[in-house]
Amino acid sequence: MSFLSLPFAWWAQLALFFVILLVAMRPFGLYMARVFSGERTFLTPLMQPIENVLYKLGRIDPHEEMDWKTYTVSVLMFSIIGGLALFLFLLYQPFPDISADLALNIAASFVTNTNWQSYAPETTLTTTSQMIGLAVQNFLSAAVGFAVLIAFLRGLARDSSKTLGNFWSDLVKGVLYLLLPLSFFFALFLVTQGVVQTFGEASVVSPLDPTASQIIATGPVASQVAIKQLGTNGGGFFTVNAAHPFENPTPLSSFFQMLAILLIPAASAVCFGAMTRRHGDGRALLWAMFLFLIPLALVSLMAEHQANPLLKALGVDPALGNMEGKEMRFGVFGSTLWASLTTATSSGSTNAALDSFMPLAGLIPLLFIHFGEVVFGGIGSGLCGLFVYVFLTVFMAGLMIGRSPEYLGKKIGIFDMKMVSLIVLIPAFLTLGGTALAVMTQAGQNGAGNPAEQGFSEILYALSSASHNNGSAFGGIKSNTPFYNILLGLCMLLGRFGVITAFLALAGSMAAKKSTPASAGTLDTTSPLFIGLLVGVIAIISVLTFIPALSLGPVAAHFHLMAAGGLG
Amino acid sequence: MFKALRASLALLAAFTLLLGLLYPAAVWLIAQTAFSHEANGSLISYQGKIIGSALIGQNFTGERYFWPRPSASGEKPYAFSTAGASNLNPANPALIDRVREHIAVLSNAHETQSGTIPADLVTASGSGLDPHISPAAALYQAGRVATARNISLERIHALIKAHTENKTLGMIGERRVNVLLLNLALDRASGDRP
Repeated sequence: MSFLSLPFAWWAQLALFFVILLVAMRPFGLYMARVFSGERTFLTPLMQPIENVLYKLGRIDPHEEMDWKTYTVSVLMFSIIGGLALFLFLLYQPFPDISADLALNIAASFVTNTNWQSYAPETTLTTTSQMIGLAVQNFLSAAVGFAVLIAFLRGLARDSSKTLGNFWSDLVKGVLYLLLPLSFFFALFLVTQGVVQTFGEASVVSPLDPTASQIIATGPVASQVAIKQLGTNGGGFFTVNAAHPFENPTPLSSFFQMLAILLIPAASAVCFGAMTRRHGDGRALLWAMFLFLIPLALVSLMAEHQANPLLKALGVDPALGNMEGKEMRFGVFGSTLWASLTTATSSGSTNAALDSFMPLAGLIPLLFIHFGEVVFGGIGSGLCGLFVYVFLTVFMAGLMIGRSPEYLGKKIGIFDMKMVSLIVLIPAFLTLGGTALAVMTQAGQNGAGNPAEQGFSEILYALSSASHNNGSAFGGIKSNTPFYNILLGLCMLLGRFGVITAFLALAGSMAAKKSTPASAGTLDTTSPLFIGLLVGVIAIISVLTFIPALSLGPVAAHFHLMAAGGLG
Repeated sequence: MFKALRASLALLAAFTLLLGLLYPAAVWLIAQTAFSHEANGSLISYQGKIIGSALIGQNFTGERYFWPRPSASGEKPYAFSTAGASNLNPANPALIDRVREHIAVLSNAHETQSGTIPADLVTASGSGLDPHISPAAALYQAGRVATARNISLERIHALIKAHTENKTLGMIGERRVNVLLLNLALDRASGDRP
């Protein structure tokens, strides 16, 4: 197993992908910084009137500045109302009936930007529920996450200020200037590739081979898939998500969906540099992200490039790699890179069955989630999470060199470190505590769909995915039970809003601080040394927290397979 | 608190209208006007009947047709409403047994083939609806189809070649053959369905 064994076309695709991303993210990040600083953009003439109507309806003064507590109350209120409305909407959808625990799970899932899917959309939800219920929350939960990031950036940029901006204005701007226009054009692109957008009836097919009958159902898929990717939501219109030919019909649609997933999270780092006028610090964060993303994606590509040795022994051609659970049009590369990108961000959309990945390739998505989804991360929440690790790094470096820690000229105090600890600990506690609870109870054990280590991995993956608001799954797990619906629902809610509250408290504390000019003794947070330290801190914290659990799951499975089939 | 409640309710209602109705309706309007074939599921009509979608795989079991990949789609292969993957992990004995069964069926039906078996012919796809097989998987079946239809092997090979889709820009995706379109072309070529 070596990097050199990977086909040339794979390297070419990786290069093409990241070049497009790097080129696109800069103008986009600068545009976002202009929007949220209240400057005019080319969309202002179109969107300003709609904005004004929305403010008028909500009796909102968009220029009213909020302190962190008011900002938090507004975020929580908006999310609670949205979640409650979705819960009731689902519970009383005309047909089919949805149990209360499932409705709770779905509502929690979509209001937290997780999009965990306990349900099979084809047989559980009406088109109306998907379009009016879920897709709306896809926009709103993403815009909420982004608003929290903007408030956080203001906290870093402002000097001795009590306030973080106006949540309602940030929310409305996020939807109107960012998500809606992007989704509209992306949806149309997807339609050209074959993603359906219709309200027509299902078609009954009379096939050539009379043994095969088929009923083909459609729906307003393109409009939902566009926002599901751009908003790092990930919930599919169909059960199999982006593996479904109607959600992701061509290699090109897959390629551009991957770009759509990464665009806003990557541009956010540029936006940070522009808003704080510290472009170097924005670049440093991007470097740290790429230092995680590319090596780990390569490891998972190598693991999938080798075919399953047990099948090879039966006489199956290994040339295509591990094809179980993968679509022919994407192949191993298009499926494996996708899995890395959607777990590095909080998208959680899948175009292949992660459960059928080789053990090491299944380990990588779990690791990305365990890093706290800070490698690009979910829209808004990812970069916020990365700042938390930056503070932790600055703090540790400060301890080592005996200076009080500071970032962007702001001293990091005891309160800040408490919030940092909470943000790191909440999802870790939910993941490991929840997994422990599930494996100790019969109701939890019943969820395992595969035998041995893989059953454990499925449970660990579900809890990791829910607590970190990712939404992907090792799909073999049987999670539509009251036990999992409620447990995962709680993990999603606490993992989202517990962390957001701590983020905003941290932002408020940062905003209030006076920025001191850099001196000779200031730690340079743009240097390669610092980037290395940051990468190290992220790796050490997450690995120390999760290695024991991971070694019982994918790591054990890898050795199991090695012993059985002579894996290199 | 009350201010936040009022703002939340108003914005949720307004956004539901804008994002839940107007946005999908706008996409629908343009999609149906400019790309109505794609927007409606890329359906293929033949002799006045819809025989399927170019994007959705179908089960073919007859001797005279190319066979698609195994499908883990619910109770019956390529069932649309229960589309799904097997989700079996690489070491699962159920996977090994299933592959062994498929190999037995394939080897039986293709006695002249002696080499390795194309992986896509024995592995289930991610969707259970994969419309494609690899060119190698099509070539593997070419002899059987040629014999069953009494067409020359060269003719079958030419059809496979004509229906092989290449990687986009020479690198994105995999080379592949759409099974339904290939089988439709076969029927046309044999004159079964003029």
